[in-house]
Amino acid sequence: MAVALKWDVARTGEGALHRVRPVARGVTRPTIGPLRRRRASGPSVGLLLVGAIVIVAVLGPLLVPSSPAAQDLVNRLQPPIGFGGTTAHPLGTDALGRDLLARAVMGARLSLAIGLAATVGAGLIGIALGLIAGYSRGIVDRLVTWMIDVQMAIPFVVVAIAIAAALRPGMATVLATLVLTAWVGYARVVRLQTHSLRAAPWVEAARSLGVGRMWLLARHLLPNLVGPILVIASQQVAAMVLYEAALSYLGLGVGGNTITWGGMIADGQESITTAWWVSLVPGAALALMILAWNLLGDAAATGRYHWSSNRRMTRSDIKETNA
Amino acid sequence: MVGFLLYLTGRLLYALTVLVGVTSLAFGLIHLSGDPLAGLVPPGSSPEQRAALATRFGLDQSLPHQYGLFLTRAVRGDFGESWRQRQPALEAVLDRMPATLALAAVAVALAVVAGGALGVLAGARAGGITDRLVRGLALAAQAVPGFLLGTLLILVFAVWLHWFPSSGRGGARALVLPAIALAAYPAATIARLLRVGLIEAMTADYVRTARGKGLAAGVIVWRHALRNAVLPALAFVGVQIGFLLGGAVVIEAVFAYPGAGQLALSAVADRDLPVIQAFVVVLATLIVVVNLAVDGVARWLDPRVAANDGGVSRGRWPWR
Repeated sequence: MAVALKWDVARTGEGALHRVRPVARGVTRPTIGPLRRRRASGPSVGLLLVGAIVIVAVLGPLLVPSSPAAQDLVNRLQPPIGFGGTTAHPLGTDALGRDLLARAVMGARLSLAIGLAATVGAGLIGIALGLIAGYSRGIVDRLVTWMIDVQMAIPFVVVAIAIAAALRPGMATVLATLVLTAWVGYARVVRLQTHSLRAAPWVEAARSLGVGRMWLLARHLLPNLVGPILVIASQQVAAMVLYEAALSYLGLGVGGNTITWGGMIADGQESITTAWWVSLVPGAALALMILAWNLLGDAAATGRYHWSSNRRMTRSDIKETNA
Repeated sequence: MVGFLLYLTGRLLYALTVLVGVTSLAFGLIHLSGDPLAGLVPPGSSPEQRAALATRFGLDQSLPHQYGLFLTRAVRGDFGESWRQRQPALEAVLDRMPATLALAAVAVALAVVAGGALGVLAGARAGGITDRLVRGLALAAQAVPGFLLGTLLILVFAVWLHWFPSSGRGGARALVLPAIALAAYPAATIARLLRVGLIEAMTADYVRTARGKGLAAGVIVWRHALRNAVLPALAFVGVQIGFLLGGAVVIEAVFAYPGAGQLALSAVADRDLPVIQAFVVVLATLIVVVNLAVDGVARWLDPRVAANDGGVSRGRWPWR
């Protein structure tokens, strides 16, 4: 019973859920003629694309015949099929004769793994801080807000440069950089939402029943924030994927022999005048990955999935957050 | 007016505390490794040589002492001598800043003009062919990272067509490709925000009234709807300036553009910590100042902002 009540409150906007961002509301409001949209029920293009990418990344080595590291010096810089290439290397080869399809698939694994891990890691920190700040108000709230503002004054690449100067390159360094940048996105939204839910009657009721603060946050407030949090998360993955690629491109990434899309694009630039595909094959894979998560995030933000329908926002909200 | 001045003073003081935070973070990040000298000292050097270097850079002091010294010096704009160049670190960064600022400024202008125009075109006739084209373009522009777009631009406009130089060195022509690569993402977002804002505004009562008065469609869009649609896009532009300064670092690497980002990247390779600290603080100061200015302008443009402004940081997104 209590659960049903909570969701009702959230859905009807009693907790000011819909009032937080007037900007995005027009998108789905059915009164706007040319934009009138049925609430779609099936999977969106974004969800299908993300699903396909996940399958490719998980099955990875099973799908491609050749090893991504095997060098075939006779067949260096072979073009893809359609540009004079053969089925032996469907997407061509790089300057060392390595198969670009195999490497692109391996790159997908790393990209997806880091993207998801960073999204979850940043989510845990950002949600915790946002909940505490939004609920406590006062000095704690001010402190968290200050931390958010400090973090937002340092662009992502600059954080990456500072960390890269201090720590050895590696998976942990990249993850730390991404998490340190991305927690802000969750913290800002969760803090605002918690602020507005704080005064809801069922929170009052729980409080007057003597429910402890931690229990209240975890069992009463958090479940009501699942929708917005998932929306942010689906949008954050795209940002994390992009940031990881940018780091690898700049040589601040995982390093070693790990195959990354960003690193592949940077490698290919040496031969861009003669063999454009070396850069553009991983580039296309990267763009497709980002597009897929962006589409999924857009669909979620406009309330396409039931878990996201209690809160609407534009994808730019989250991008702004990452500025 | 008094209220505005009070607000400004409060924001200014708060901005100062944010900068203290940034400076502390710059110090903390750099000392994460525990040994700032690792990688600077040539392998095989004696402990005496090491100690001499540590003394020279003040690294033999206790960490709190170093921190205090760093903060008091940073306030005076002194980040110490660059470890690699015979030049103060701040000076090295500031020497390169004009090039980075020029790139960012051109990109902002480009994003505002192109994104603004596309957004208005799309929003004025939602659902039309232009609208669909703009939406597709925006989606694509948001999916292609700047460094990839830069690579594409080099391939098409420098390698194949020879229209522009592939390197960022050498005059205004060299600025075109980097600026486009940097502007694509914010332009797409501006177009999307403006489009949504315009569509919403076009359904408002005052637009219906304007139509009822028999005003021309152009007048309604430009004089009535756009004024109300522009605020979210404006807020985005403000925040984007920070984003652009970060993005410029990546774009500079693509085009070998001689800006502050390139300096910082080579400082990472050289482990020139004072230069990196100066770079972080200079960029953060710029961003804080720009955000302060944008907040002020938004408040001045839209009185509703002041009414909703509840205190710290809410000033950043006052109309939400």
